[in-house]
Amino acid sequence: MGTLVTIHVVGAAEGADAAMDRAFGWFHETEARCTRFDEHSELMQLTAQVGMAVPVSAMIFEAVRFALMVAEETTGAFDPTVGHRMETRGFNREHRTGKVVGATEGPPRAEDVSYRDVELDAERGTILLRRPLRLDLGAVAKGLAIDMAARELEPFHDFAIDAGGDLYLGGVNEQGAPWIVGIRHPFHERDLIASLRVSNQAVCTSGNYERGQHILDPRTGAGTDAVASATVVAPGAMLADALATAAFVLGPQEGIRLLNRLGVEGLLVTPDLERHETRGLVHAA
Amino acid sequence: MSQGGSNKKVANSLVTASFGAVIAVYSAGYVRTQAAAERFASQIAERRVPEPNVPDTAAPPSETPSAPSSANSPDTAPRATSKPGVVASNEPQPAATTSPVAASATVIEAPAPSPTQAPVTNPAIASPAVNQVVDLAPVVETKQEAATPAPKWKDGTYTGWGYSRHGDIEAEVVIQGGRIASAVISQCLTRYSCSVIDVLIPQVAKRQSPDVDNVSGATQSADAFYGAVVQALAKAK
Repeated sequence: MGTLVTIHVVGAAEGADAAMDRAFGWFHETEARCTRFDEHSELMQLTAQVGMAVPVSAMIFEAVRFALMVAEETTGAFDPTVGHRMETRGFNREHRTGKVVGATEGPPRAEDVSYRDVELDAERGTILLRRPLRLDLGAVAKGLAIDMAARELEPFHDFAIDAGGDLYLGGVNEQGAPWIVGIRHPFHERDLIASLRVSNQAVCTSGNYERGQHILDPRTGAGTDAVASATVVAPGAMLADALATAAFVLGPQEGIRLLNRLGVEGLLVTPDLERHETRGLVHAA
Repeated sequence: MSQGGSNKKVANSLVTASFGAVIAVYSAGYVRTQAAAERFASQIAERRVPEPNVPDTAAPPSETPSAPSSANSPDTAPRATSKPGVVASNEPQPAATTSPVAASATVIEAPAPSPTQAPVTNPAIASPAVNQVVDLAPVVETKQEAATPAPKWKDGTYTGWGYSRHGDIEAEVVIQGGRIASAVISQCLTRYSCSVIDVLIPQVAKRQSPDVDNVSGATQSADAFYGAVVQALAKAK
């Protein structure tokens, strides 16, 4: 994930420290299992085996299952198998060593692989990859970790989790009001383009502003530029994160349609700062 | 709120699926997670390296051997040295380096107006706020706005640990008179000299966004770490 994680529990609750430790534990666990930058991670081990049903942990299974559901729902605008294309575009360098990860080994991957090449067996808890492909669980894994952390913190009711700008806000802030969430301006890092009121919801923003272009349209393999940033407010971070990515790819009109259809809120900002938002989005004052 | 009813079923199915996933993973057991956390803590201990040879300049924060927040958290890895290794003042620093560092902070306490090390477990004081960093992009921004008065924080010493692929650092931030008096890296266990990141530290004192609780879409850069430290501090007020 490569992310700064901040957890804040409102008030001085007994046991909060221990719960926060457990919450952080989920981030470490998720990172360890789902990273593409360690060939020994469970995810990389899985993708090294093509054509056979591989037993996987509950975490990998659920993350992949959810990713496939979103892929289905967005007819491929969100697709966890976009990984191989990312590699061909230079997202395969591990930050620390500069080592190229997984780009050249193995048989060549067909350009037309998609989420449909991933088969789940819920009874056996296995995943089968029909063709060589890379699974990128970035969007769902971080969201899942946030949701897991939120579950750990549930007893404290009022808390905030911030994982690199993907948020879950439980209950109310220290003033006893719904949390105020600033949405980063897509081009000016220190400015906000909007402020929202949020309670018991996740807020995730996808943008290409951070590390250069890194969201590709899985259906074409090309970069997308109709949206500068896509924010989704949803009951869970895994959902919000995946849908933010999908809305980003779909563009402002189709993206908003998707969010409306799924009953979540969102704000899409175009490169010329035009805003498109769902009707139910709650702005702060 | 304003969703069309006809497709509500679809929405519910995705929402339900996401919650179902959380429950499934959760019930698969926390044991593994705890093991991961412990492994992590031991890795930190192993990666301990000598202090970087950067001159101390500012007053070290009243020797707060950074009260651990709890028994089994990663930040309770033994602290060999609690003496500041890298110190930065609020003066503008020469611009730009690439920072190979990723950091995170654990705000441990936000006690009363003196850095007299209140035990973390004092429940009456502040909301716990904790940061951890898992990685940082090797980017350092040095542009800074004119310094504006910092919001009022409770005086005290805040300690944080940062974790990343590049190594780990421990940071201490001291608040005096409601402002950041100093921000120091008290331990530096990175693969690189911490001197490359000390240019960042003044940012801790200079940037904040007191009008919002959180920001979505924030950066993942080293810069962001310090922004988040500020955020955590703001929360501890």
